[in-house]
Amino acid sequence: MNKQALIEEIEKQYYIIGKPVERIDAKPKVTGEAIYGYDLVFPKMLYGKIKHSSIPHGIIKRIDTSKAESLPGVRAVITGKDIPDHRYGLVLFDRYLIAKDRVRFIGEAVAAVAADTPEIAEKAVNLIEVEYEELPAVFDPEEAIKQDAPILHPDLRKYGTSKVSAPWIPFDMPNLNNYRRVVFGNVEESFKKSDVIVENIYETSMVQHAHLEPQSCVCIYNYDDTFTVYTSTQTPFRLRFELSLALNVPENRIRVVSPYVGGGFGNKLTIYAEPIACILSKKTRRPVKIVLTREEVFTFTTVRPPTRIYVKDGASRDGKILARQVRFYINGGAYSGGSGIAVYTYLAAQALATYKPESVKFEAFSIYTNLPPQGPLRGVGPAILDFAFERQMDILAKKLGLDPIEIRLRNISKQGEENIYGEIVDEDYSKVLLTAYDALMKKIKESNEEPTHPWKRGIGYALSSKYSLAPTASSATVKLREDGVIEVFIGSTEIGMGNYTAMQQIVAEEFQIPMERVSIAAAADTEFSPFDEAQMSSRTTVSLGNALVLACRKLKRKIAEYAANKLNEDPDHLEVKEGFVVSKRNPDKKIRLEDLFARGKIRTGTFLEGEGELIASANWFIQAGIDKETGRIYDKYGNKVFERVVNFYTPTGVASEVWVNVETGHIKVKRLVTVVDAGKVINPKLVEGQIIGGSAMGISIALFEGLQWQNGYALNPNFADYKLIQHADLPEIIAIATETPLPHGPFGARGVGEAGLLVSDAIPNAVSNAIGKEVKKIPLMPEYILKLLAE
Amino acid sequence: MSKKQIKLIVNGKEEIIEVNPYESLLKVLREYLGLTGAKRGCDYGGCGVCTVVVNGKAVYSCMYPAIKAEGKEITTVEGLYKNGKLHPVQKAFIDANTVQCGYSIPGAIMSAYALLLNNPNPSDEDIKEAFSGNLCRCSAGYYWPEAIKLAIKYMKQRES
Ligand code: FES
Repeated sequence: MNKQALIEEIEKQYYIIGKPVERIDAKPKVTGEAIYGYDLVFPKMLYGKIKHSSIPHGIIKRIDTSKAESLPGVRAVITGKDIPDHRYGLVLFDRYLIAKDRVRFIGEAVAAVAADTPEIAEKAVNLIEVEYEELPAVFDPEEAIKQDAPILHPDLRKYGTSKVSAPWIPFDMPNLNNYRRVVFGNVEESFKKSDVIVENIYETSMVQHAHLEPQSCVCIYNYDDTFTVYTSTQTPFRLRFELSLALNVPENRIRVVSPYVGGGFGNKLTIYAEPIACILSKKTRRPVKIVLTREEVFTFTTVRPPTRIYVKDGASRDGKILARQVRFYINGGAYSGGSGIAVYTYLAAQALATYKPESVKFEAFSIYTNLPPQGPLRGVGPAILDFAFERQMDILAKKLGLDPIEIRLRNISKQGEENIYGEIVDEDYSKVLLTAYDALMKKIKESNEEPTHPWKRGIGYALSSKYSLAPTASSATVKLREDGVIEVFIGSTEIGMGNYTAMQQIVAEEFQIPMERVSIAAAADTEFSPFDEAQMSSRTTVSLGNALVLACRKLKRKIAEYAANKLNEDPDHLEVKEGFVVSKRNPDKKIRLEDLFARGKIRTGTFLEGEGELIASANWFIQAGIDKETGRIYDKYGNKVFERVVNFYTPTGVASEVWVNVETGHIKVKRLVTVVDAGKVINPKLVEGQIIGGSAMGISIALFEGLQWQNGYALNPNFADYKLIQHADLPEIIAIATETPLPHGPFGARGVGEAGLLVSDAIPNAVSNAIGKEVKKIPLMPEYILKLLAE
Repeated sequence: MSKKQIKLIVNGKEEIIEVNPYESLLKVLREYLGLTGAKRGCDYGGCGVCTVVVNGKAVYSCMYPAIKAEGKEITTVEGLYKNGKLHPVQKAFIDANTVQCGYSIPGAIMSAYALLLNNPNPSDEDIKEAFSGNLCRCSAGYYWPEAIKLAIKYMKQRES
């Protein structure tokens, strides 16, 4: 679409886009009627329970299941011997659904039980005896790459990989399982020209998603040798793929159904108990339900991995960054964690999109250790790397005597130019930052609250950008029913973002009909729903939204062609809107959608004439990629190999005010402004909810969150010891959505689900500003603040 | 261990059930009575998604032994929705934009309901206190205080 057409599209008066329509899932959720995976029960259902490894690294010498098997009420016990000799994964196929001979982290499944009640299953699991031969374990990524480090996966090079996104291991380094490089310009030369050099090491903690609905599944082995899997997932289609690998069963024999999902945040993007429940169901010929306990969610599922980031920046006297050199070590845990090893290694580098130094050298190392596997978590890599980059900006500004806003503006990637990867920038980075700055200043002026001893005020900003991954695709099908209702088929799950509502709005807009005339039908059932990659990476609005717009336009054309005969009018002159097909040149020529097929009742029942219904499908796909050697869309000879690296970016500007108690080290976030560029707001209530929710989680990660381990044992895998932000800890949050249209977004929209999390990159700056010391790790625990103050 | 027969009054209706002495009220509500509105999130009173109201007080039903509820009046989120009409607290939770994944919502609604039952004009501090046992990963309960204020307004409208 050219720019003029785009502006016209944006400015035309919308029928329902941009309106704060009530969520279609709000009522079932406040009445308790919404059914989640956790709520499902089936006749003859058994309860499964997993036995987890009790050591971080070792060989399984012997498993004795006899006591468990003889317990009354136990229907099946399985171990690694009962499962196919097939490893699974999404990117790298490195894991068995139950450990066969070797365990690599505490929490890994070594056996499982199906029993009549959850209590019996639990008792039985405790009766299983496992004898291990312990192996040396390693928990730090930089220890794990040393030559004498224990090797977790000696057969790594023999493992299967995804055809489209195989990991890249270009050199031998112990325990390295993925690598990415970005080389832009020549950092050596740029460092030589630099007036100042700032070099630091940053650390981030292990974060758990802490979605409130623990994973839950019911798996049913059917008489026709197929599996039906009801589960709480963000991605029925990927799940089916991974299940097919783990079970060694073709995908067409597996059906995945997902009811409402009680939060995911990236954790529900890979399989956990599902294949185990499938095997137990096949063995017992009964449905098997496995629900994870909270402790299992903390220790058996994926986590945002701990990382260490080495950054060296060189800048000129006027604040222009000339060279940026980064080494990013990801403590990746024992397995690849679905797409975990891709998002932190491959995609995290997209955090470099915001600024355009003269040259960049970036390297990411994903490393196996004896901890839980890395998995995507809202905001993934940028949220982590931008903590380091945004700290660097402030430290550079201080050194050069520049204003923190000014130094950022001097370095942003400019609209219409290429960013460091070679993609054309259509984001307006200065707008989000300046909007945030203005809003915070106004707020501070309005209040005359001043901190008194021992509290100190600090102001901190972050400018950041959340990419949305590509290549990616969504399909959608829309159908005109005989009653005139437009029925929508999508393969997307509702994990809380409000995507069902937004998608319904898009269809209502296309047909200019009220929300009630649109029905979202079979959602998230791989048997009936069209393909959709997943609810992740802020992708649904753009990807699925585009597919729906395309499908609706096809359907409208079909309707016009079908109605043309009835109205004796050329289809090109017919318009489908407000529930009618109407002639553009003679408004009297029109027919109601529900009159297109129905002819009424005859004595024996109802019949339909003609086609009976009209249906249209569309797939929206975006291609993307990099040259591996350069990490850009250009190869080292300057040939363009791709148009884009990712689908789009969502710029985010944050301004925060914190008060720090210099005697206790406690931090109060006083005011927060989060500005996210939504491209075009489809539903302001939903967008605001996402910005607020992401911001709250961002504060929580910056201030409190860290899953602690000692020799591979979790120290705080529960809500009493792993602190999450609560309503009482929240400041007033000003959520603002700016609208810089995304040329290829539906109505210009961008995705906003994750961007708010980038708040976690502004708070460390505000705290450093308050205490006059440079913060270099999160979370900002009081002990750490006191230590810095004492330096 | 032998089962024990108990009588509960759940959402105004008398229920006679046989429970094991170790079973929680949450288990009885969800598995014996099919009331899945109260959710399960941690089993040790750490998240509040299981909150229900017992004799006018909000409790974690996952830690509340079912036998202790003998003879008591229990209200769950299902009990607030009567004759196809939302309770003012439920309507307020929708209008204040609290709902995302929804998993924390029934518990938070019951905390709000219990608060207003005992204290029709709560202060900001009372509101904080009332939600101190409820987690919400989607929004940390950002909109909950607003929902309380709206609920008070809707209740007044209903009375007049
Ligand atoms: S709405 Fe998802 S946890 Fe509160």
